[in-house]
Amino acid sequence: MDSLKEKLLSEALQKVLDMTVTDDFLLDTIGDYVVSDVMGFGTTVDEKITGLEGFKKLLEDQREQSREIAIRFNTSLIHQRIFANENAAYFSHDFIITIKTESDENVLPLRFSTVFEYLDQNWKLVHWHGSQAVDSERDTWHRNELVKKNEALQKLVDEKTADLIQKNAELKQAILTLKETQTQLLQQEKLASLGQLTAGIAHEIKNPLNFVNNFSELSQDFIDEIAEELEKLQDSSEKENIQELLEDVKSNLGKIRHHGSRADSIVKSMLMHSRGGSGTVEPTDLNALIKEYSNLAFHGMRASPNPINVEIHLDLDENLGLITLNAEDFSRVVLNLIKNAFDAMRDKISMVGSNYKAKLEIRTKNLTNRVLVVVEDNGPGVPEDIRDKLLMPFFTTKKGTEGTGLGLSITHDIIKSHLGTLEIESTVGVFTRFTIELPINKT
Amino acid sequence: MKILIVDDEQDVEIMFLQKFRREIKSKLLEVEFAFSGQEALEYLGRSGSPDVVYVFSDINMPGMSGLELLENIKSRFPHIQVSMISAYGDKENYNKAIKSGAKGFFTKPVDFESLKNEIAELLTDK
Repeated sequence: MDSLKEKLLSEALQKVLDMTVTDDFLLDTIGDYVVSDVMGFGTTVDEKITGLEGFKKLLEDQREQSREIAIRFNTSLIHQRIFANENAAYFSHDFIITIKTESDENVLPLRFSTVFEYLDQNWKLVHWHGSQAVDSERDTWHRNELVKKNEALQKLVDEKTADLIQKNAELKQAILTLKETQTQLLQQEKLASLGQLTAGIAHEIKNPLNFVNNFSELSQDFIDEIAEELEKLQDSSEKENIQELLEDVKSNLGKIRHHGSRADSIVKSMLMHSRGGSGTVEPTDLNALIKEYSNLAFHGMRASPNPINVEIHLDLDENLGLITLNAEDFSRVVLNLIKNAFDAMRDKISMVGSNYKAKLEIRTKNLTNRVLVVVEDNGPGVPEDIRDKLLMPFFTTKKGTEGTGLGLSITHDIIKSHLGTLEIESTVGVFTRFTIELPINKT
Repeated sequence: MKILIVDDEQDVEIMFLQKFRREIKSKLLEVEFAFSGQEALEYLGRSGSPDVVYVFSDINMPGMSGLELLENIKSRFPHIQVSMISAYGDKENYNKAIKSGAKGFFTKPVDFESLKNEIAELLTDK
């Protein structure tokens, strides 16, 4: 091939590469380097171009689409051939496109083949073929590629699903917490209005109750005086009869007095409930308080009409330090919880028999900014359906005249006034665990 | 010696009469009753000052409260001793009463032993 023809060919090739990659090439002049019935394949399914106008349109579309993004081209010749008679030539290029968007960079490896024909002293493009190289080694029919795509998709779906499952669990937990808070608030509100009501009732009952107690006491004294006077009279069957009747009346008055005192202690507890204790808040050796009051509760129980054998185990954190609290109120908390445990374990002894060994454990633990007090017994446990009623005033499982139903309610109030929490865990027949958590006020 | 009990609960009268039965019977003690602060002031005004030496008054009463009565007695009959009896043993009432010149403060239910001692003290002073 003579050097002019060769120069023309390389110029035509350069122009064709330029018109496909640069966006300032004058598209009206492409006819100088492309035959009118040019045919070519682009990289996408719909890019099957016939004719100069179609080719021009493709280039226009390409420019339109690349307006917002930064594209770099890098071409390198792979192979070329001049056909016999030197009137036709073909070239193969690697055509690396780097597309840069705001967030990332994408590299598109393209292949580009062109065929030129020498017509009327000019080389012109007659056919081109662009294709995208995909990563599908030894898989001519692209099956692996599909599998890979599926796998990638599956992975994405799995990730999103796991994400959703976790979010769902978080939401469920949030709803649960909300519901719990709502129940707590509702109960607190009920308690607050109930507290005012009980204080009112307690006061109204206190006065008449005082009369009942005072008059029964007075009458007892009078009967003693009558009995003294009666002694001075001569013995007779009438006198004996009167003495017997007076004994009965005196015993009846004793009963009135006894039940009056019972009512009085309930009223006092109710007032305590709504008013709170009178002690002062000061740094307190909580371990010492627990030792003292568990001892007191134990000996009180042993001296009561229904003593039981209990093994008491104290596991007190030596690093507890002084806790700021109302010792008078808090000793009531300790007493109440221990007494409850004793009563529950007594019930279990009468149910299960003497093989059962009653055991009470009290633990304290310093959790840096909180302190934990745990009172756990191996008694009959608390059935789940009554667990949330335990803290309600006047709720009692104790029979007859044994409980006022205010002990745990007062206990809870005192803990709340210390900004603490009281939690109950239990397995029926195995254990009941009361856990108190108090904030430690660093001074 | 005469004391005046002021309480809107009428049964208080019977209770006091029975509690101090012996003292009253032996004429060591005379007990008068008023069922309101107003009635108490009327009685004291009527009977003349040297008659009643001690007034025990409830605090929560309809109309004039025990604390108002206390102030009234202290300004009009300063030589009469006054003690309060209340179901509300709170500090606020206690402080007010003592500040207004009350001699003692008894909480309900009244411990009659301490009340008897208080009155016995008066009797021996005489």
